[in-house]
Amino acid sequence: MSYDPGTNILFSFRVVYEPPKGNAIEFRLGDFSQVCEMFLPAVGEVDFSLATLLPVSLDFAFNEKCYPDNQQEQIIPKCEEIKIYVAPVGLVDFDFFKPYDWPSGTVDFDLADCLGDDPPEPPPPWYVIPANISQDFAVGFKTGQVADTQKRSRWKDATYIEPEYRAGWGQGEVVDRLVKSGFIGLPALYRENRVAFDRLLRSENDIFAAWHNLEGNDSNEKRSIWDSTTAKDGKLNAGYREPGAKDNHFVIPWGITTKEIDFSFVVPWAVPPPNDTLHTTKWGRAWYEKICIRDYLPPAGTAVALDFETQISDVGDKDHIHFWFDSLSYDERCNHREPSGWRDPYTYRPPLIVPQTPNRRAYTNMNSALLKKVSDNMPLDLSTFSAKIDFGSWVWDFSASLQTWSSFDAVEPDENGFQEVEADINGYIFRGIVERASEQEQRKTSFAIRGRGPAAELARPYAPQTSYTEEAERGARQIIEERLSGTGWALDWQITDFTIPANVYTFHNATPLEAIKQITEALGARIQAHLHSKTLKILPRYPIKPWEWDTTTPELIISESVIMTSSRDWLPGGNYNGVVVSGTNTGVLVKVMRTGSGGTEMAPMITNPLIVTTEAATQRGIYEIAASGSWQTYTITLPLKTEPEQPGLLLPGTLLQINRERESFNAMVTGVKVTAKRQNGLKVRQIVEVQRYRGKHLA
Amino acid sequence: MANIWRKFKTLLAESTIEVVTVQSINAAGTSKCTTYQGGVVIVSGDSVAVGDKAFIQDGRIIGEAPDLSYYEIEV
Repeated sequence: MSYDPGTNILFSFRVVYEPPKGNAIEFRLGDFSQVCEMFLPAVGEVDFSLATLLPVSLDFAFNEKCYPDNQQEQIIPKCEEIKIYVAPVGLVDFDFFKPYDWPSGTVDFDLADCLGDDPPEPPPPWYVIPANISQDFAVGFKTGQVADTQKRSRWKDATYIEPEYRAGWGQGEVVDRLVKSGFIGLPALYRENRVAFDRLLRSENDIFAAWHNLEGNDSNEKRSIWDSTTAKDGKLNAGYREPGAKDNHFVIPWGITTKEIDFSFVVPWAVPPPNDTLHTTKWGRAWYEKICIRDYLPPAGTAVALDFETQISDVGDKDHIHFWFDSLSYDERCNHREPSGWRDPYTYRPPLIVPQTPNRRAYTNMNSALLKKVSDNMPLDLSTFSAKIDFGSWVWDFSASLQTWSSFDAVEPDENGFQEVEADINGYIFRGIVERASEQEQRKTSFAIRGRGPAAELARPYAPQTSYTEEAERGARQIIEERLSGTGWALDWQITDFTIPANVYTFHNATPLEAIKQITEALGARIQAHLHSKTLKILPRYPIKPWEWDTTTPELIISESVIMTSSRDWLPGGNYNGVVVSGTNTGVLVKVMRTGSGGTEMAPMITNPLIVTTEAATQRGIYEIAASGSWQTYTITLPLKTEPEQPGLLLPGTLLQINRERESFNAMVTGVKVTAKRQNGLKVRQIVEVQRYRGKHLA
Repeated sequence: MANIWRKFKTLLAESTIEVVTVQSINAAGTSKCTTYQGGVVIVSGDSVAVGDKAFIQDGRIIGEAPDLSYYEIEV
């Protein structure tokens, strides 16, 4: 669209203006897409504000090329359509704010008036047709094509171009003869530079490619390696030149065959018969449960509905009905056994094979008992060793006797603390810290050391005592893990977890172990440290309810022949069948009863702040009812075998079946003591305390 | 090989805390309470109102007990 200034056009050159061509600033007034309208300021003046002093002189050229640029056929407006610039008051006022460097003394604005007279005839051409252009090189002006009158140049309408502004056709300078196009008279070629095809091979010998004779090489390092190479080592020749004779025995057998191919033989199963799409085997877990599991859904009132289709007068003695209960017959898929095993491993429970100690007349034990100091693996000359743990203790107690001063000195506690020792008894690794060391000098000096497992560092006197209150709702397991964090001890949690509300779990001046015991004792659970690794197991005191032991598959069957010694004792109990377990300020109050007993004989009530959920109360209740019964304690001495030989180390909590001639019963290991003694050889034993439940078995 | 400490502990009478329900308050500063085992016991102390729960230990009321949710579970 047209630019329509109000009063002034202000050109403000903030930076040095770089003209696109020459020294000109090209003004195009008007819209490119339309017929040009010359600039017509309504009032005022054209104001050039040259803020920056131009480094070069400035020429103004008002371009009159007003027809559209994008059209091939140029439309030249008629003169009537061109609006000539008319100065409003007769003057165009250029106000140069900075000194303007006049190009040549005058600024000539030629605002042509196309309504005036015809422009003067152009001056005669300045050039002269060269005389010596032959006829053959004449430029073909004579017979051009008929010009399109629509496109012809219109001299009459054109504006006379001043020589100062016209294109450079004016009187040029004399062209230097030396640089003019040299078609007329080329200077003579110098022999040295011209292309000399006929003499190329024998001239310019020095710049030939150096195939013939290398000369003037500077040194051996730079010269071409082709003319003087070292002799080849004949031993390194590749031996391909004369290969050995081919071995005819390895000719591919079907290269020459005398048997013709029998094309009449057709593979019969090239086109198999269509699949029987109607047959599908419905199988998988969902189908198994649908087909093979039958749940009896009694009608209302927990009755058994007997729907007899046959009259009673038609069966039996016509007066009684006899029932025969056959085992249910199931679909073949339910118990189908394939050659590789059961069809569905997820429904198949392999029969439990209970390991059993061998029944032999004589046993041979290859015992080993080694003791060493952990810090530097120094072997200690062990004479006896024993380690024990039971339901009532959470860490292994050990004692050992040594033979020499050097061993005793190495492990005796000093001001730097205790020493850690490691015993290897028939492959079972026990670790312990030496807490006491004593020596007695008589006819023969004896040295004794005692201590506990490494878990002792969580208890007095080694562990720091802190006070703490859990102010957020946390799981019991979480709380114990938090007590062990930073100690390097891991937790093996094997009891039912439960949530403890905020501000219930609190302790005062307690070691980490005492803080943990606060939870385990509330539940009737127990803590058992691992033999050697830094792991604390949290286990139920009775993982199986004692009144169910007799019907539970044991973990190991002890045969009579493996029992070395045996003794038994009777522990009377109250035979309670129920107990009330209660929280104190918060929690639940739960009456835990043996199933079917009705809680007729209640044990004294148990209150503990941590009985906050029924899960906690149930675990504690089972323990209280179980512990209240009568028990029979057996102490049996067994060999200690290296796994997988039995009996291995029997840890507390293991359910055993004792098979003896006069009785067979299930009982649980409640304590074990491992002994190793060097006296006429090395004897290794484990003395196991098992408890047999003799409480009342409900009918 | 028996745990001597455990054997020794069984000889000592345990001082347990029990939750009872106050049945009536006697004039002599004692209260008649019902235990959860079904027995009736008279303990010293009358700080807990009739019908409320109380903690008793060694024959005396040591404080009022909250009325906790009651469950019966067979094991």
